[in-house]
Amino acid sequence: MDAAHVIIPEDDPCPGIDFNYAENIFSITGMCYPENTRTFFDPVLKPFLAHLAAQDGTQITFKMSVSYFNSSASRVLAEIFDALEACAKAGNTVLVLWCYEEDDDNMKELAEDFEEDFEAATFETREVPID
Amino acid sequence: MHLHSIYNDMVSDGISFCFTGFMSEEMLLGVGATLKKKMQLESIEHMTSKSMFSLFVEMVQNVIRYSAEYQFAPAEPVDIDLRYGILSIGVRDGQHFVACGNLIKDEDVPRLSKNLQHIQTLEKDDLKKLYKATLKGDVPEGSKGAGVGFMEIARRASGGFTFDFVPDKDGKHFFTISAFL
Repeated sequence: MDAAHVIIPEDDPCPGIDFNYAENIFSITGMCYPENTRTFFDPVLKPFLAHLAAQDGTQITFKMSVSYFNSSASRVLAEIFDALEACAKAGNTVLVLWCYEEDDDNMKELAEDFEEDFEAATFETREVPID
Repeated sequence: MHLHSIYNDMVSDGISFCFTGFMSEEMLLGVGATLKKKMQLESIEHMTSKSMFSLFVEMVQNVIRYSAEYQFAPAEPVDIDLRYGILSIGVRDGQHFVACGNLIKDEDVPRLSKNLQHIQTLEKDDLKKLYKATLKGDVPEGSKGAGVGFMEIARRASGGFTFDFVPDKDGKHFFTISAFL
């Protein structure tokens, strides 16, 4: 796998991953409800978290356009967000963009829950049309 | 086989999906795809159908993870783990419901019961707080996921949820959870 650009197509119940390390633009798309969340995410997250920890003065964009995720995936997301906030605190410019389907109050609430934890990083939500 | 009477019971109870048996991720994907189609055909409002789908996923994954009636692969490294349970989805008194049941060990009843009773008493904001605090902490005792599955069920079930434990045999209880919206 080319570490500079990791692409995993959406494959129900796993989300799509597009992690462009060269550009520092990272995105997760689709639906996310694998039974074993760790089996899917661990190989993707290990290099990603190491990369974030090694940045200095970098501009990083993390875009999440997941229309649905299950409860066990929420822990993985919390872990990613913690790492992004830590990365911003360490002197990087971090933008977290959370896209949710219009009228999805549940997803909007979850976004607001997670938003509270961001101080150094910029957290933005965007309503998108239903796919 | 007396399938006709079971069938009639299901139909008269407003049940559109019922599955009893070993559950797996493949079963979840197959039934999940059919459930989505069924809700599309009925023109169920998009967000209601998303919540129904979420309730379905959380409950079936609970059975897959925690049912005390199971078959494991006899030898390593074959990773097969099938767990037995029952799923039912339908409409009752004008409310959609998703319900799941499975056996659990007697010793897990007090912890589970306490946890569910507590979640039932929480107002929306307190539920959100507990959800986040749990995500930030260590994975709770006995959990194989994030430990927030029941909170997710409570958040999604606009009509609330009920649960009960019925004594079974061999040191087990039958656990049922039903969520309404």
